[in-house]
Amino acid sequence: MSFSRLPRLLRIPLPTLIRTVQIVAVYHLFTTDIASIRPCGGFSMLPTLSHDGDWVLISPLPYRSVFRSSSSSSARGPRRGDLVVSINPMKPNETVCKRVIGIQGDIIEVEPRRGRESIWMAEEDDELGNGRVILRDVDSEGRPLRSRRKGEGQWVKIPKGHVWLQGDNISNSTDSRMYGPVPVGIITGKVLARVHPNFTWFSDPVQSV
Amino acid sequence: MTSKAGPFRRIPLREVIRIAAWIPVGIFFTRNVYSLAHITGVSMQPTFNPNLSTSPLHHDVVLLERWSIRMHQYCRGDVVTLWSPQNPDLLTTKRVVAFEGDLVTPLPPSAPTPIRIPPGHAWVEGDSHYDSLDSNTYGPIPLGLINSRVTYILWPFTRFRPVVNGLGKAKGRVRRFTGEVI
Repeated sequence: MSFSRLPRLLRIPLPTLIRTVQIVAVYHLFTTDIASIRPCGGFSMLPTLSHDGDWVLISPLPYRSVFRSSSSSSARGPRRGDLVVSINPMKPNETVCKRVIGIQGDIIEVEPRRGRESIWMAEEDDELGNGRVILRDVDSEGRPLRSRRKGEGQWVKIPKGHVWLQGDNISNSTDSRMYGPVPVGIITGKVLARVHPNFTWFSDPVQSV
Repeated sequence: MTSKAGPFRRIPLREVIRIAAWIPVGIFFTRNVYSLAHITGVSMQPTFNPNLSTSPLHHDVVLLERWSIRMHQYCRGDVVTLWSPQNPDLLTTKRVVAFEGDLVTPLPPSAPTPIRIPPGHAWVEGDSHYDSLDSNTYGPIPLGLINSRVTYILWPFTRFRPVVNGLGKAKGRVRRFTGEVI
């Protein structure tokens, strides 16, 4: 091969080029199919993952059909409590890291936090002149101090092939409460461990009661 | 060294490694550039498998173009493959009818009240009027499920042709975010 017309730095011998292509392909295959280590930032997974980008170990293998136990239908795909990486349903170029709260067939309350706020208010003095301060969540006319949150008291049944994803920091997370149940097809892998600051395996947080 | 007869004894290990090193390159190519697929269902009739009822063993073989999905170079009317939202192991073929911001009037089994497609989603439909499980059943789908664009019918050879961009059954039911109705 003659690359003599190219600048000197670009005169790469063909075998080196071929070897590079092969190595890049192996790397790509490994990261997409076996495991990859990537930073995962943002405030939505506090306190499990820090906001300035913890490096986590992600693997799609737990959800491959070969490695799934086919004994029960609920064993297929992600399980409740798994930490997963998914393509962002609103922005296909981005990925998000969330926790699986519910799987197909579960009935979930969209907004689990109660929207009403209570404040300390002074009651009027009684006959003896004793004032006291009590915690109230309605004003003097009996109206709630704060309206219900959107989705509070609203229950959804998760359709077939979908899961419900939420961040651990539910006060600052864009998740299924915003975009609804997520198809399992866009979940790219399970987060197995935090690698960079203090290596820890993420264990199954779900306890049966 | 005992040399036994047989064709496999003669291939040196070096040669095996040299060939095996190309396997990941091939996998990369089929996943990100081009690959082939055969279509089994009836949901895209008459575009694919038009004679499936008379010859049930003949399946169309199509060419899938994958890099255009990576680059997000596909538009309304293109035929794409996507992972079924209801079954993550099933790859389905549908036509993209609408993108985010468009207003679509669904067909049965959905109620015919217009739906605004949310950001990052698309409305996909099969071309068949009868046997299609599509967005009219499961609603808008995230673009992340879309996996390739179907560009050519390769087999049977008599029907070799490019898969053209078309309306499917969407005529008059989509108001684009720009205001025009198609």
